[in-house]
Amino acid sequence: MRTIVEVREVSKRYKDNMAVDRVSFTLEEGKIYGMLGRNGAGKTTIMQLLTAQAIPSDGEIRLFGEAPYENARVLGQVCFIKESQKYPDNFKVADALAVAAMFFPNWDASYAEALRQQYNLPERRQIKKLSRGMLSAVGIIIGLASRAPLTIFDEPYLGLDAVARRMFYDQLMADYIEHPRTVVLSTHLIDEVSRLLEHVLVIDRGRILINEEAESLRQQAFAVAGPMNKVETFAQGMKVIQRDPLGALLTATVLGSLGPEQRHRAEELGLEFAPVSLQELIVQLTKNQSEGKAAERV
Amino acid sequence: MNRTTRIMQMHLRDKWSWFLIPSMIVGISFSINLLISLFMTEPLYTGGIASVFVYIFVIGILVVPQTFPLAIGLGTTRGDYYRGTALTGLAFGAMTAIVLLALGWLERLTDAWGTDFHFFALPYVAEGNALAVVAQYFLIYMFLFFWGMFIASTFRRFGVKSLLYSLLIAIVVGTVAGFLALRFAWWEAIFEWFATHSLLVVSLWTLPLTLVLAIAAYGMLRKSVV
Repeated sequence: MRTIVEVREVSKRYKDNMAVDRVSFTLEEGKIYGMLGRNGAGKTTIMQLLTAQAIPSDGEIRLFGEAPYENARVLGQVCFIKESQKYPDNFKVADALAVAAMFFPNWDASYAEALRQQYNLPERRQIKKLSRGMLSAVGIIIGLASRAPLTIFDEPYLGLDAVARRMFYDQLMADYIEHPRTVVLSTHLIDEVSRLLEHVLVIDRGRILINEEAESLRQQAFAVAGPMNKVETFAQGMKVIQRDPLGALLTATVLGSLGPEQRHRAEELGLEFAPVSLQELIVQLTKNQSEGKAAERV
Repeated sequence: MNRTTRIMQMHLRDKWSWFLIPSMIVGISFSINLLISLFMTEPLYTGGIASVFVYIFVIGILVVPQTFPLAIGLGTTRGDYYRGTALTGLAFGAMTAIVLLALGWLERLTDAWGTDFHFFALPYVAEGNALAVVAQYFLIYMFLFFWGMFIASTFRRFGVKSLLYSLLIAIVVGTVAGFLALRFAWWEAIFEWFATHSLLVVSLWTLPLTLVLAIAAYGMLRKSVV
């Protein structure tokens, strides 16, 4: 697969704060990436650097093989939908969509119109009078209908209810299958998007903590459920990162991959395996790694 | 589609800011003064068209915060944004100058609207040939537009503090210059210069200033982030 984004040792310094600290990663064509991390971890800054909306203090960024800053050829292939996007005060929904249509060569106007109706966005309403959720929907429509080879969504769902968010995930998935492109989804609602993600980048305090295929990440832990004493017996000597008791039952999340031997033993004990939540796993891994890093510094 | 014309089309979507509001301001100012002139026996001269120029100064300031984040958000380069915005300003400057000239003609044609009311064809302002009148309107318009854009770009690039400092410097320099002018009796010479030169000559003097402001605005926008 072709690499379309290359980030090498990129840093962004604001006065007294290292927002992004020597970050390196690559993005490949035709994949959905999750950029995960807590608020203030540096996700938005990284995406602004990618799209030349911010200028790195250090390091090198290549998009489609070229530097993105003031590069119309590159920026025309990127659609970056950010939560804080501003629109002119006098713009109506229709104006925003019409302008977006001019800027993205792959724009699908009928798809945009269908999405607008699905999100119940009044065409003639001024954008500044939209609710937070409707404003998010404008971004979502632009992001999906742009069909840009690199589409980046930064927390695109603010103010949207669970139904509308679900709608967005389904639409993204459906359109992605029909028109494969590279999608970066930045979010802290990890569990909601986990089924979409093929690759996960976890950012913490301006650094990359995890950069891994979602599948191999999921295999780093498993959950086992059954009567409490049996689960405890099974999990003895293993690294249990989470215990969820429910009455006399216990679900334990165990770090490490599941071998045939363990599978056999669990079956003997009458235990069941449950899927592990990506969110839980990332929370745990993040905790471990930052603790590890903190220890390193000392 | 050409990348610069796309930006112009984006601006033109905002019909209120570019067409309707300025037309309304001039229209209302004209109507009220016309009404007053009906009740006056002596001729009425008013500087109502100055509002056009004040307004474009405001537009120059507002256009950047209003549209720069969207243009950059949609993947425009800062250079394309600047070119498209500057061209939009130039196009409106040319259009406004021609419309003002035409309305001045109409005013003469209707014998000052029949009520001795002088709004578009003012002495000193609308003297000289058509080309000179259009040129002077255009030059003043562009000066104010780029001045506004310069202020907005300073804010974009350096934040709100830079504006406060600029204002402070402007006040100090203005006060000192005013004092010196008073102390050494330059005012008389300054007034005389304006009186002896046509508005075209005066407006031509804004040209170098306009160019400096335009280039500086470009330089700052190129380094601006959203």
